[in-house]
Amino acid sequence: MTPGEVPVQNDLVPLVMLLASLTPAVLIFFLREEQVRLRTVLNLGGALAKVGLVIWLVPPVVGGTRLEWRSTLVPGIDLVLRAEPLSLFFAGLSAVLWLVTTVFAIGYFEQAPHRSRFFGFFSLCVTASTGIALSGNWVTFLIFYELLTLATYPLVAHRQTPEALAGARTYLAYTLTGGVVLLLGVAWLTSLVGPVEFTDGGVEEVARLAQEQPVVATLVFGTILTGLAVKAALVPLHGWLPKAMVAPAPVSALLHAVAVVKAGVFGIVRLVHHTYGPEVAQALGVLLPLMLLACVTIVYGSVRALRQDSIKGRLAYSTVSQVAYVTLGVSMVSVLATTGGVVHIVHQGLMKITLFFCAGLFAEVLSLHKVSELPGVGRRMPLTSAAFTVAALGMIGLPPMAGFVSKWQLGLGSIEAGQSWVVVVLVLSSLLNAAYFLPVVYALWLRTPEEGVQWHVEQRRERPAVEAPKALLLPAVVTAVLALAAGLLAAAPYAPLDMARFIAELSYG
Amino acid sequence: MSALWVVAVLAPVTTVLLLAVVGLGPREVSARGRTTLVRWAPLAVLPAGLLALAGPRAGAVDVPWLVLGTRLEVDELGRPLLLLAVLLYGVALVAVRPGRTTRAPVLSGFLLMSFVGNAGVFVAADTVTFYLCFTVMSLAAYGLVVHENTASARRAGRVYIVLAVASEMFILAGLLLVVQEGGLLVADAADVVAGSEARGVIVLLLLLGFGVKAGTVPLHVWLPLAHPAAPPAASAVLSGAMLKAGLVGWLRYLPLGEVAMPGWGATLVVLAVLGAFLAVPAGLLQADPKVALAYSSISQMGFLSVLVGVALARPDLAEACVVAAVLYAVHHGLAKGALFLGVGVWRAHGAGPARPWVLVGLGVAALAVAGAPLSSGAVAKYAAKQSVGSATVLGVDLALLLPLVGTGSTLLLARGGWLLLRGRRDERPGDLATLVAWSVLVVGGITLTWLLAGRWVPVESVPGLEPVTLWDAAWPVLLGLGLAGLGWWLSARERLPAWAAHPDGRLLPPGDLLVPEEAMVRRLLHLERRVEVAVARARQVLGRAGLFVADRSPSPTTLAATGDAGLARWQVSGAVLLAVLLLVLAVGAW
Repeated sequence: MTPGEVPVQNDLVPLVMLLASLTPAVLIFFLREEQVRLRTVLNLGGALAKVGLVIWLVPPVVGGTRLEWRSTLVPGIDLVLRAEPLSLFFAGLSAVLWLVTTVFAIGYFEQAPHRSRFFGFFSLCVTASTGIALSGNWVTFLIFYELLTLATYPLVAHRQTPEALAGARTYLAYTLTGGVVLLLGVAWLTSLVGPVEFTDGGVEEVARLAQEQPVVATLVFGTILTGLAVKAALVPLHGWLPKAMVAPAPVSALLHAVAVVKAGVFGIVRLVHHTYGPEVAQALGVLLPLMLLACVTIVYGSVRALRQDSIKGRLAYSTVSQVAYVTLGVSMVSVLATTGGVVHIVHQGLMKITLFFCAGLFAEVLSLHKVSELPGVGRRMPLTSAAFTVAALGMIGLPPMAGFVSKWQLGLGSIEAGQSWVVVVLVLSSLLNAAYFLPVVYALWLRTPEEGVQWHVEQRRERPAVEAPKALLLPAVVTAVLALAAGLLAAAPYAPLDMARFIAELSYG
Repeated sequence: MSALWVVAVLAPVTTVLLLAVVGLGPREVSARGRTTLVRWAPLAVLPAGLLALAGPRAGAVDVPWLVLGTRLEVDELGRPLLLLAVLLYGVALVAVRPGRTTRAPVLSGFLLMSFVGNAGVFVAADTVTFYLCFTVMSLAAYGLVVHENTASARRAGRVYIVLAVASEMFILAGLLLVVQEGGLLVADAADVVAGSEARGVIVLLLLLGFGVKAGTVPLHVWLPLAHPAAPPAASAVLSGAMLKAGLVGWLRYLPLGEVAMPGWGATLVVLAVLGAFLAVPAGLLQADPKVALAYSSISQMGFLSVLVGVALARPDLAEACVVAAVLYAVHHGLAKGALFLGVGVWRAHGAGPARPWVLVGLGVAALAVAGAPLSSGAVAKYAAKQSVGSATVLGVDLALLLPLVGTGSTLLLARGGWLLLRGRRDERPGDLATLVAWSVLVVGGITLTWLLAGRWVPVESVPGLEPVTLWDAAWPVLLGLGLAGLGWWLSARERLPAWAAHPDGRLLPPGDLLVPEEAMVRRLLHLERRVEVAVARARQVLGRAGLFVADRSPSPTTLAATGDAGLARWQVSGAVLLAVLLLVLAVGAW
């Protein structure tokens, strides 16, 4: 579909969406620690407003309207925010998960120090990911991509322990370097073909470049990809992710589900589908290496996850593996595979955030941080354990959870694209996922707590009315239900799968 | 009719949800609510029974928004099996008694979830729904296997879940290929597979995947562990209904009657015959009646798989084989379910006033499994023998070989019965509801197969009452009884070596092949650990050597070292897995 067919309306709405999280961010920095109520109102108000905006925008955008806000940055280079299907898809995910994570964070940081700083950067981080979602060209994308790096650093380092600072430093070193490489790539591309606006199915000028100077086009692709691969945690650039696990639970949840790693893969979708276009990239021969890289990452991440005893460590390597599914999906020329990749942005987000919420709950309520400490927790925290189980089964790709839907599409797509061997990778990955998630589920429900464990409440004694503070428990249950619903109702209109298919079909014209 | 569908699906699902939600409440409310729910749970499977009775008149139901689009339909093949599932699960749910069964609400919940999956497998009309139901069943069954939470139950659960997940993945890969080639609807699947270029790979994947459930040698190892570990109600549905789900997978997706695949067909027949006969000595050497029954199930599933193998190799015989397989599945499901439940019933009622009836019931069910004249087994075996016609395996006529399976069954059941009658009994007197439900199953088992043959299941003919037919059915059983008597006489006079005269399950532990397999896994893990230790040591040495470098550059990133360690582990565990998978694929492609 050429851009001419779509009526683009100038509108302030995209900017308003960005401001919905920027305003609370700025205001919160000026609040005193004890102004809890005002801070909560600002946080939740911004989050709810954004969810509302996305819901309001989806039907018209699916109907064909494109809303755009444009401002000249320097002559010749525009700052562009645009509401189109893929941007809304990602913005929707970030809006919903931001809302639940805000609730979780409010519960998590009750009475903790530096709350204003935390929530300020937290909102800034969400502003950045909204910006990334809405970016209409590479320059805008780059700006918000860097902002995201800077906004998340204080969050990772929040606890200010030596370990936290070290983790945050590694994170910064990786992502800043990645950012510089991305900058180089984008600058190179811009110098060759002028400012590149994201276009469904690829930009004409880039296609021409690929035809006239295939080597240069390949190198530019490689440079931009390398810059994105750091955040997307593709092997061998994934090293920061497990180290960033020192962050507080809500930060890890957001980092893994929507903010940082997703920004990376979202960029890869933009690069393959909205800059080069799948056919052009295929002709250039850059897709096969990308696919191989994704496959290696999928298997490598799972194998590493097997040996992690720390719950968050296991989840971190699982993210490395799972996020590569998105890359895998967009690197195959097939509507089904692309659908599977794109929909996994949302599906992985829902499942992974649930897992991190649960890990946070185990840590906060019972001070459990290791898989080996989990035996019998299902009796004490049934709802948390149930949420964890749903998400873990989804990660393995068992129906009817969301993960199955992604895996099914990816499997069908790989056969459609003539790459049937990818099915072997998917199956292998599922087996490995089962190998590191099922023992956790087993420990939660079936093993008996070890002797002398403090938290274990005797069966005969009365259980506390609720297993955990509601502000922590509710988000985990809600996201688990969403992860189940995304699978059970996958074929319903406006379900993530429906939207992803719409996006993929646009990309193939 | 779609209202009936909705009720049939929602009744068990809602009951499970209620059981879970009520469990979260305060202790007393929870206990009372759950007890009530468990009492009424058997009713939740009844709407599905109405669907089975309505049959094709219930029509197909389409739910386009559910999962990836769901379509359900009671067809000719699924209908008798759906009825089987309703009967078995219904009786099993009655046998779960609050206060008597350990953690009755949990068992009821898992039984109901298994029922949803199991019945779903029989009525799914599209491949995604089929796979969904199969998975739900497989996972819920894990809950049944580990229910008692003893060490042996946990081991059984471990073995079961490993095999179940592996089978899920084989099935997933196979079904992806089927669907991508246009076999989304179950009705089209066999055609699509027959015409597919990847036919060999698909058939291999499905034989492996469903073979785990159907207990095909050498994938049967979970059965002899899972059945004795699970409570009787659970073993009954495992053996009676769930093994049949693997069979249905084959009947639905293999290109039976469409194209001749003599290689794969013969392979399956050979494996099935091996299972049918090797299970006999394996089962005879056991000391637990439920293990002996489990081996009898392996043997019987071997018999069933012979029919599938013949159908795969000989399209001309396929139709008759499929019909015979369905009839046999219903017969064996009911009779074996009655036997497994009978274990619990005997232990509870063996000393009470119902003792004679329990003995008669057990005897009738056992004779049915063995295929004695006039029993449901005779009908099923007759149909099977007619359907394989002149097919041979390794030069031996199958029609000659199959009756001998009946001899093996007789021996196994004689051993199982002996163990059961001499085994422990419950302290408490049994309850009436379970006894009544079990009696329904026993009587139903005899009559239903007769009723279905020719009505719902279009078999050509049923055995008549002429002497030749009666003798055909009788001699394998008589031979088995004779051998059993001889064995008893010899062992009672100590004419046999002790391991054969008084087997205690140590010579050949339950799970047979599993024991060396587990040892191999342990060795692999051990090797992996040693590699890991070596790598750690190497890293230490390297670390000491690189001390000066480390001092100058305080970067905490030790990417390379971490990567190396990861690679070393990967080489062992990952490479083994990959090699196995590649090998399987290579064999399939070839």
